[in-house]
Amino acid sequence: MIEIRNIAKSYGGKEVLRNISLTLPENRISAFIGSNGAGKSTLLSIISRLLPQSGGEVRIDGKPVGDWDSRELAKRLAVLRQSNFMDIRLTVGELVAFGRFPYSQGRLNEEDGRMVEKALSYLDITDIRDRFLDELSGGQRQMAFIAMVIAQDTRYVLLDEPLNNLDIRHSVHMMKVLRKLVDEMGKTVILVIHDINFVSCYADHIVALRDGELVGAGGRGDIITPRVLENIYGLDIDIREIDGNRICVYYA
Amino acid sequence: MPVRRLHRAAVLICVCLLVAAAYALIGLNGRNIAYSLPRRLRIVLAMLVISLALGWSAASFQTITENHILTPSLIGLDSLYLFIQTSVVYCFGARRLTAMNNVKDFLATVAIMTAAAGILHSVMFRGRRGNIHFLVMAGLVAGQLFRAMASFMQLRIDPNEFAVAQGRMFASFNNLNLPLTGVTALCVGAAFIVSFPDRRRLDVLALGRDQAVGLGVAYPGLVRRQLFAAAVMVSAATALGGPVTFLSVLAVNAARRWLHTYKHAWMAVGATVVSLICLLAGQLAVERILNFNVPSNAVINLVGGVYLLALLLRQGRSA
Repeated sequence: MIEIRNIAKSYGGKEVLRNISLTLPENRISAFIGSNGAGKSTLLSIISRLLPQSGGEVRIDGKPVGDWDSRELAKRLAVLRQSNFMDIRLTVGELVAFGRFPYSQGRLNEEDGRMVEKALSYLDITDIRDRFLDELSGGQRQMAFIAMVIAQDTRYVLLDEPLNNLDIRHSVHMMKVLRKLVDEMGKTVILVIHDINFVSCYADHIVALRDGELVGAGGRGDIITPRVLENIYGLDIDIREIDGNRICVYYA
Repeated sequence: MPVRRLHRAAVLICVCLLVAAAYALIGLNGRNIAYSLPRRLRIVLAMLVISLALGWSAASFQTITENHILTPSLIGLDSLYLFIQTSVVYCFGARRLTAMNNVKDFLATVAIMTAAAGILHSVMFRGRRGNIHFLVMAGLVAGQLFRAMASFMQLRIDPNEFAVAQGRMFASFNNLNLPLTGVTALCVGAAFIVSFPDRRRLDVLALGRDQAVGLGVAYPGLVRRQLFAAAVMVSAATALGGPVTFLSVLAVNAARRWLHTYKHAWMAVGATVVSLICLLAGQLAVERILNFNVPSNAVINLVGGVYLLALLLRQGRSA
């Protein structure tokens, strides 16, 4: 269970998060939504201990993040940030093998090998395992990074804009994979995501932020409504029901 | 792939052995062998110590700063060395410097330089999230300051004393500080033993800080260990052979390219061997071709500087 209590964050006097408290449900996809600069990525970074908070506390399975041994926490929680620029040349297989670092500290054993294979085949990228990352398309590269996170085999998976730069086909594939992680492997997935129709169709729990404050949290029935969305984005958004999904129409 | 890498590493080591043999054996005859051979072997040993120190410290430093053209020298550690040596001459006179026990002097210098690295490190972690670029900038500025102060003092001291100070400061490879080889080897060895077990954590850090933290690397401790080890290694190598700023950039990048690797265990071997080849070849050229007219540091800095420029140009094109 991930519990967030009174989290605040400020950069040199500027508050980017104010008094955020919420609990993220187990075995669900939770999505953080909000405009640019609302504090979604900052909150995700604080939960995953990449950024220290200015106040408050995040508890992972009852223990404050700061009290976790960093190696043990890496077996419980995996995180992927938006920019994955590197100046080293790696193959897909080498990258995915890094996901096993918390377990084997760089000396892969048979178990690690099996987990790497499983992660590659789960994302259907076994055929490109020997290709270098810089030779791949953005979509394939993103899949390779997700495979690394899957190889890390953690209960919690935190992703910052996993659909960034993906085409429609890769986006749908990505969301289906995340759905499978939750439904078949029992994981808890937490995303920062901009496309509210993907949120509406795939997320179980939605957390809405505006200007560093929590403005709503709940299922799609609670959040995907014209009134709440207007409050988050300041836009009139028409919502249509199509085959049981709520689709937001905001192109007009 | 690993087989080919092993192959290539073997080629590198063979070249190195050949150059070492050429350096140690050319021009030996019955009359000078008793004097020349032991002396040359000690020079080769001293160069091996310098190569390990510069190669490994630069490999780890480049990963920590996420930048392939930086070296610990560039953040001012060798300027600090010049500054310390000059201030001793300036304040106490050259006699003091020559009378001072070499080893004690050396250890004091290493201690001061390590303390300086500590100050840089604490500056860097003043905010809770370490900012490595701030460290590099602060080091560059401090390095300029030390260099300027050293040359100011050099202008003010007696010319005779300056000559002594110069001999000490530009301990060049023609004039290695050979009595220090033993204690330098101990310092470099100790720093290496402390920092080399982090090699796999450094491999992960090559993915970037966030990724490494996400994979369970205890980042602040890793940076602290590597920075202190680099300070000890650079000061030891500089005391023994004088400043060679560009050698380590060349050694690490050449090793990385030749061995096609991001793994620090391979880079440690590769960078050490490449820099040893450069040092020996430079020395060979200076002694046999240039008749000691040019200090070998100059030859090596020339080659290293050209390589650095080529590297910058290539990066500029691909970016």
